[in-house]
Amino acid sequence: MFEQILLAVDGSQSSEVATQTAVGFAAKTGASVEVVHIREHDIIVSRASSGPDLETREEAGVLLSRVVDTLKRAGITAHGTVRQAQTSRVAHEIIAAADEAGADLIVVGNRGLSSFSGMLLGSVSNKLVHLAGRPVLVAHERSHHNGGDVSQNAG
Amino acid sequence: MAIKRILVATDGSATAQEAVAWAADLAATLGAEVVLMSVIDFANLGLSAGFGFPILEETQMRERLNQELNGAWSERMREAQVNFRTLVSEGNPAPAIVQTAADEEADLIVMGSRGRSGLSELLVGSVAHRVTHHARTPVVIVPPSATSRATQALANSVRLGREQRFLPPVTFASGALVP
Repeated sequence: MFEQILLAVDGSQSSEVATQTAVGFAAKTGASVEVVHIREHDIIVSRASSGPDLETREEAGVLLSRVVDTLKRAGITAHGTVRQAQTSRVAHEIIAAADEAGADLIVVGNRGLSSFSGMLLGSVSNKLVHLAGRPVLVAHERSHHNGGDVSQNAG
Repeated sequence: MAIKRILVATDGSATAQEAVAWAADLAATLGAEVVLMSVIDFANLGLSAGFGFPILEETQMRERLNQELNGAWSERMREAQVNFRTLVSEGNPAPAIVQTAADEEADLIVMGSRGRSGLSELLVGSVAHRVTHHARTPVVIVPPSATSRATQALANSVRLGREQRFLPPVTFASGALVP
């Protein structure tokens, strides 16, 4: 039931919390973790929100391997892939990755994952919840651990 | 991150059963305890208050929620050999669930993906979405499972099959009456 977790990351604060949550789940359940990072290639939205600098292939790879290393250091079987999608299709791409991995659970942060619309609405996590057809864990950047100080973020 | 206490929040919708079952298995795996919670939404009660039976309806809803909590859902927790307790709360579901999670020091909230909000869900987002955005803990949204959807589809096709088997004799009978 908890054999395969799909963790979708984007480098945001809530994504860090999602990673820590996935570590906790996998460590306790013995699940392996497939990490996915979606590179967006919606030119107009990317320019509007973060200037002309699109995330490069290298940057995407660095982000991904940092997360995979975090999981491996915790003794978890982990594997990572960078995928590409238009901004409006990020959630669909995550679902495709979850389907391929046969994931029992998708873990995401509630902010980020999409450069513009996601920041405003958390629309990626909302879409996932509606469309994924499997349990989705949404981590919040305010998430605290063991009743700790709310102002202290994980990671 | 250690998950020691899981809040399973329901509003009595069918999909909550999936969330309850999933949370029971997770709690058993993690050795966590469960707080099973149901919320009475007065906004929903208010819709029929104009008909003059708000108190009766509240009593009925309270009874039904208690039956669900202490019946099938508690049974599911016992099956999984999970320590649990139940509570019924009142008011706007999303803030009530977020507040209870804080009061109970829950490490995780588990909910079904569709409540009974209907139109308001389309307009302002579901209870689950609002909880997701306001809770301090991670929230797991559990959809109706593929197996239960398949079961439902099967049930529908069986029902359809019966109707189809029933229809030909009617056609035949009416045909037979035509000279």
